[in-house]
Amino acid sequence: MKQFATFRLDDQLFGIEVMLVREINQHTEITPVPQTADFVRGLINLRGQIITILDLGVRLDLAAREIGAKSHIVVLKTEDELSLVRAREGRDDLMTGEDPVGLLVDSIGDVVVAEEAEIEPPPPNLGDIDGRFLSSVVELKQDVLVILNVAETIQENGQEA
Amino acid sequence: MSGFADDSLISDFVVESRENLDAIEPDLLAMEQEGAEVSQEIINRVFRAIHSMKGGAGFLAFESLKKLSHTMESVLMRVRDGQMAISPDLMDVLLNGVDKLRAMVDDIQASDDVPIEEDLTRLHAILEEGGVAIDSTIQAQAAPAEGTDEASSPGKTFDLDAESVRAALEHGMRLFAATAYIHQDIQDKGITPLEFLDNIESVGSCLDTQIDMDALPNLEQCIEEDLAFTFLFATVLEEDLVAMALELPEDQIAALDTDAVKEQFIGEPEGAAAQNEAASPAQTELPHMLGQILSERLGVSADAIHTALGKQKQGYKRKIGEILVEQGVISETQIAEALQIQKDLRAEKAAPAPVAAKASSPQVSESLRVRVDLLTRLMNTAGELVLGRNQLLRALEGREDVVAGLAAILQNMDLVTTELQEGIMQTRMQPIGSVFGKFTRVVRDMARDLGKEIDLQVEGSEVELDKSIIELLGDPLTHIIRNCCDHAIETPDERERAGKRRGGRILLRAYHEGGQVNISISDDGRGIDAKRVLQKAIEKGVVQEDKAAKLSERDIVNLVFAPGFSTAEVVTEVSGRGVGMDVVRTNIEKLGGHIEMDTEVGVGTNVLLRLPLTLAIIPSLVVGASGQRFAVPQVNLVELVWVRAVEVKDRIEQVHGAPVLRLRGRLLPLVRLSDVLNMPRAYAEPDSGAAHEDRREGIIDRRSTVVEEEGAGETGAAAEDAEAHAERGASDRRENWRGDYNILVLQVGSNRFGVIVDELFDSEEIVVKPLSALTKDCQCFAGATIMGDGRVIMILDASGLAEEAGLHFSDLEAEEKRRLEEEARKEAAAAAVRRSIILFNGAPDEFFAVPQDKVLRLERIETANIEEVGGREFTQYRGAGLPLVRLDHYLSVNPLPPEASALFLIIPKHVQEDGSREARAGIVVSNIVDAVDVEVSLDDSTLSGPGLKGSAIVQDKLTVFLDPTELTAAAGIEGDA
Repeated sequence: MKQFATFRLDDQLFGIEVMLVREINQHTEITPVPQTADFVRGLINLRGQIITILDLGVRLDLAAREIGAKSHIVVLKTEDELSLVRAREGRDDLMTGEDPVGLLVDSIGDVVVAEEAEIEPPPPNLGDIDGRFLSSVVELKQDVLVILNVAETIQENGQEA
Repeated sequence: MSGFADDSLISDFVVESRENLDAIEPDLLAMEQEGAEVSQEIINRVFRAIHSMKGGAGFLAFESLKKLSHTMESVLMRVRDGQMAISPDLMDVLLNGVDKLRAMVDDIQASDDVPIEEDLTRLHAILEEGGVAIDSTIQAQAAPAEGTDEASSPGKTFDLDAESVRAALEHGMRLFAATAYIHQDIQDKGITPLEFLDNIESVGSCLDTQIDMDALPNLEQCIEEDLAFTFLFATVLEEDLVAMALELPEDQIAALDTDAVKEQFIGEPEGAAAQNEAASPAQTELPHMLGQILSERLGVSADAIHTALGKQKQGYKRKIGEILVEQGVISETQIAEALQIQKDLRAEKAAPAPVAAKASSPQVSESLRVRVDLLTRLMNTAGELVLGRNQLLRALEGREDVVAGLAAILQNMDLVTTELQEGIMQTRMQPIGSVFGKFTRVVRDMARDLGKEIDLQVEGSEVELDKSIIELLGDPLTHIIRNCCDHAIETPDERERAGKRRGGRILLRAYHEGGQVNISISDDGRGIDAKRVLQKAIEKGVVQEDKAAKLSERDIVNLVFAPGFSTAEVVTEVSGRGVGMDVVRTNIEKLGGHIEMDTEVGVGTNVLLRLPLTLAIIPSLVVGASGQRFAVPQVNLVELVWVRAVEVKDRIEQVHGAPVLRLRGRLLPLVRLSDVLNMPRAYAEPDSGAAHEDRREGIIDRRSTVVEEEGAGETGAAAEDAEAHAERGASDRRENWRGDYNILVLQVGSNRFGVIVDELFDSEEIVVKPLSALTKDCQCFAGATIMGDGRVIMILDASGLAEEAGLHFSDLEAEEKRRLEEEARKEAAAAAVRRSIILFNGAPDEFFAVPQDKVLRLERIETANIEEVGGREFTQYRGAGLPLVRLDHYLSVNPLPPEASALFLIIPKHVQEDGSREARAGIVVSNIVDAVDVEVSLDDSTLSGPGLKGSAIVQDKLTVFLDPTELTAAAGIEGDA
């Protein structure tokens, strides 16, 4: 059984395993960083720590996100933070990045609980989204929940589509 | 490898050993320096440090470490007892040994892989020279007591050197082989093995330690069965007391046959030994046991002490003194007194001739070890608190009256927060001595290698800098100091010939100045020959030849820091510095510091480093571009230039298609921050703060009312023009401020450039936060920081900006040079005066000129009409005789052609006192060429003679300018002829 934090880009529902998420907030005062990768939206100050915010829309070859009242930041755990979880839960498959990163998304959904049997391998691609960013898919009653491959999504050298 | 994997124990040992090694090195150097004069205290300190390392290494079963420290200890023992003289060679061996020990400690698990054979061989050679038998191995011939287990059974061998055994025996000690079990005897009693070792040392002397690995069939059993730790131990105590003192069961202790050992090691007749043994314990010099002192000096009964010892056996961790106090046998003051006596006695023993403690001995201060990452976290948290405070203050601004006393509370909080932050910053400060300390050794080793005599003096070791700076300072300083030794300081003979002391001196000094820390490294060596540096710099293309003339001597010497200058052969012979000095400069500049050099040939060189106190907080200027704020480190900022709209065309121009700023004769490449960062050019409305797009194309394209004043001639596209006009029609709000430029002049190395920004804000102290891997690829930024309002802003990196903008500094230098030359030409032209002249020939190929206003008339005469009277030529002119002057008589020019039948006269104007003009003489010339107006400046440097004004090119001919009046005067024709 796995739990997923869910969120939407446009109408598509995405999910990230909750163990990879440090927090979710609405801290959308983002300082742009000129001359860097296009999917880097900028930086925020999260209680004294600087977090790099990625525009998940750009990253997944959708449109750049407009920041609105429902926009949220999904802050991910770093490898350091995750190592504790990994040891405790025995989940060697959980992967993330070294630096603190947050994902800019349009809106936040509920936490979805799925049995292992419900979790299916991802399609080679999903619309315009490159398959390498996808980890698996869960069929919900009304939606298809697309689970992201976090490590791949936040990798700095994976910009080329 | 370690016999049992207790990581914390090993790391304790490593930390302790590092401290020991750090303490040993200066002491060894002091020993070398002071030779036989060295205080016993220093030798003892070294001895004890090595001894305790040996003990720990033995206990933890680091074999190589134990072997090496053990051998070093043997040598030190001979030195301590005055049986071996201190020599530089001896010190070499010991210092190398210290290096090896450090290498082992640094990677303790691989310590056995460090090769030590060479060191051992050299140490043994020294010992053999001193007549010491090495590593005699004795058998612990202890009779197995009842119930004894195999670990302490006979057949156990220990590595011992005769020296320590003899010393122990001479002091009337007995030898025991004892076995302690790691769990049962040590850890279960709540003490660490190192504490246990300390215990042993407090009652006697541990001669060798072993972990009995062989006794165990496999590793698992090692944990299961409890590991045996066996040691050979010398003490004056009786066997039962030993057991009590060590808190070991008696069956684990076996006495060695002292006489047999004595015979084996000393070969001394038993009688003599017996005599020694018969000596009263009170007279033995070692050890000064507390119990002994209590009973002898303070009259505490032996029984009481014995009881206490017994108690100690049960109440494991108590000290004997504490037990006695508890029992009311003695008072605490008595104990203190006894402890003092014990200390004195031991010190007395250690230093037979009492020597005043040297000031250099390390001071033990009250301090804690704190992890650096914890401090960093605390520092961040404190920064967070500061932000929180700022937000709170802002939120409550103007509402201080709402709650009584709120203002005072806020003020107090403000203060405390600031203090807290400063305090935490302070925790990261370290004395620079931790870097300086190692140079004594570096200089000593180099001097020995190079056959020089060099004395290093260190001042200001207590000056503090941020830990991060201290860490990064080591390499550049080492480089500079090595250069000093290698190149700057001459050999003793050379120095003597130059009339200097044979020994060179290097002074390393740190001091505060103006909120910065300066470090100066000065030597009294040969100095640097600027001429040779310049020559090399030109050869290497570091500096252009024509530019070189303008450099001051100091500039030239500092060329050694220029990239590309740094090859070993460059200046080694002449002066020395220059080997990789550009790397040194780069490193220092990375730290936000600055380096410069001063030198005098034959006298010495001084290198000065200026460093900020901390890297974590840097002063910076906050600027705005495209509606975003950026921080510019003050260290890169040279000045701010404000170019008003009306000045733009005078101060900004295009060179090779790129805008440049003219600043005091220099041309600085100019870029817009928005352009370099590829952001939309925008400006913010000063009143409303609303952003507008800035449509100006080039920097000198000023689409504003100012342009209109100058008439047409705007460069923008017509359509855009129309748009701009329409916009202006709608509102004229943009004039004045709109066309002005705020320019930051930034410096990178020796290059400067201008950056146009939209807005200037305040100077602020900012905390630099590093960028993540995701944002690192933009070289324009040095990091990010959090502002008082909680927003993140980027910190600009000057060298990255210059690179990103692709600035061509060399092109501009060429242009600068061209302009300077043009200017010089113009200046010369300005000096030229418009002259009306008469051009004429003397000899046919020689051209002369006289000013028209100084000529009265020109006349043609026949050669036949020239008469000679009294050695002077005359001709008839208006009914009078006119004296003639020939140029070749007074100037070094050729004579007129003699065959000419007709010549010309130039009659200078002589003005009478009444204003009338008269002819007094005529200058004879061969031909009048022309009467022209010319604008020339005369070169008066090459010619000299009466009436000569100089020369210039007129109508493509080199023409000599004359003053006819002066010439005739020189011919002696002045008054009435």
